[in-house]
Amino acid sequence: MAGRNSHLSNASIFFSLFIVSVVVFLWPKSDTAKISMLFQATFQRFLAIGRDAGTPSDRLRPDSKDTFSRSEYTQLWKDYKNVYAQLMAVHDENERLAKLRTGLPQLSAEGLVPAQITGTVGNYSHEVIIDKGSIASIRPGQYVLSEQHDSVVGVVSDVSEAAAKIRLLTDTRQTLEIHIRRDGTDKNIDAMMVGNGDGTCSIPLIEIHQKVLEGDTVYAAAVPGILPAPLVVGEITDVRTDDKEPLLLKITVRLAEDMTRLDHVSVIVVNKTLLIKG
Amino acid sequence: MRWLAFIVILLITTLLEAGNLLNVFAIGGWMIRPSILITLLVYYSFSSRSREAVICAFAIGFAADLTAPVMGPHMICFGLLGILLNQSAQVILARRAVHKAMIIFAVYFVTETFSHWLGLLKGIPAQNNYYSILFFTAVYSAVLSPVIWSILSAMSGWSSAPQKRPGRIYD
Repeated sequence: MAGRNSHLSNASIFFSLFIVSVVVFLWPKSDTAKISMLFQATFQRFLAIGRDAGTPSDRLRPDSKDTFSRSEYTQLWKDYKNVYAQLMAVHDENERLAKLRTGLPQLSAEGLVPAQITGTVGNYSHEVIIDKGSIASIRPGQYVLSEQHDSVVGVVSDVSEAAAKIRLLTDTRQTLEIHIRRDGTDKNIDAMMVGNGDGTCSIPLIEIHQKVLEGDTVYAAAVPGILPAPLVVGEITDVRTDDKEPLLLKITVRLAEDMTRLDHVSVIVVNKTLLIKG
Repeated sequence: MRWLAFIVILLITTLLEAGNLLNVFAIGGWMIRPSILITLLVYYSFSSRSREAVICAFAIGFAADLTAPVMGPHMICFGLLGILLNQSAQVILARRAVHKAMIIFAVYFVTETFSHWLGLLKGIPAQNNYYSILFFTAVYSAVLSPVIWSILSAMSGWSSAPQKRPGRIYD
């Protein structure tokens, strides 16, 4: 092949390709991202090979009647925490709206778009690709739930027609508005959570006088039009004084969902017509 | 050089790099995965004629960009490093496994660092622990590179990839 193009010198080929590369680099990211999304969409069947094949039913099967598997415990823990969060939200609602009987909006099945994780984005980010895109009403900024719809796992960061990028909560660039709440109390501590890049997350800028303890539950804050009700995210596993900022706490969160085992997720595409009232 | 064979190898490598299969080999909390494309770049840069090496390097860079958050940086860096490696193949001999590993480590570190900087220019947000992950990925890729190199060498019989130049040693 090279011999047939001998009228082009090596330098010409090099500079031609180099200029093409620079043009691709300078071209708007919104356009060039479509190329990689097209690649992901085209080969999603091959890219998905090797994802954790464990099914929810497998994970929920206890070893014996007296013991619980770790995954079943996690599942029950998330269910309990979510019910508790909804209970407290209803309680707050009742207190505020005394005579008005309103329930929290719940997600209907139509408000969730199930998707399969088909690939990952590079070695450095905690981003994954899913096999649904703008055709399925997925838009950047929408929240992504675990397969069982019981915890938030990430946020849609980029979308093409047939695929979308999900930035997981563990990514160091991902922040999430959260509440910290302890069982038996009705007081929320509002904060932002950021990924650590190693499977855990941190909650910065919490002052030491705030009573945050290990074992407190972290919920994703409800966001109108994006997340109708608080949903569990994880549990605080470590609270210590920040060495650099002695007036602040250094809080570590273990997420409820193991991000490395995600296989299927659901994207919330909720809008008013898709909500049902409790 | 059979370009069809090169394209097939590149496609398989890109699918591995972009897909989930390499997660099986991921280690640590940072999920460090080896980079196969970098071994491909070094292998073809050392084994091909200048003209072919240039085209291969940019093509592998394009494939690397497909698996990255932004298009362009890897094409530029892989293209430049590819031609540099090809020209320096007279003085750098990748005969022993340790030599190959050292070259892969250095090339990965340089290309990914410059790609990262170009990505920052393009507006990609900076990431914590980037250089730590970069270092460990470079080490992991270097450790595995002799194996991948051997596989590529074995496949070269099928693809007729390396056209040996006089005075060079290919393993």
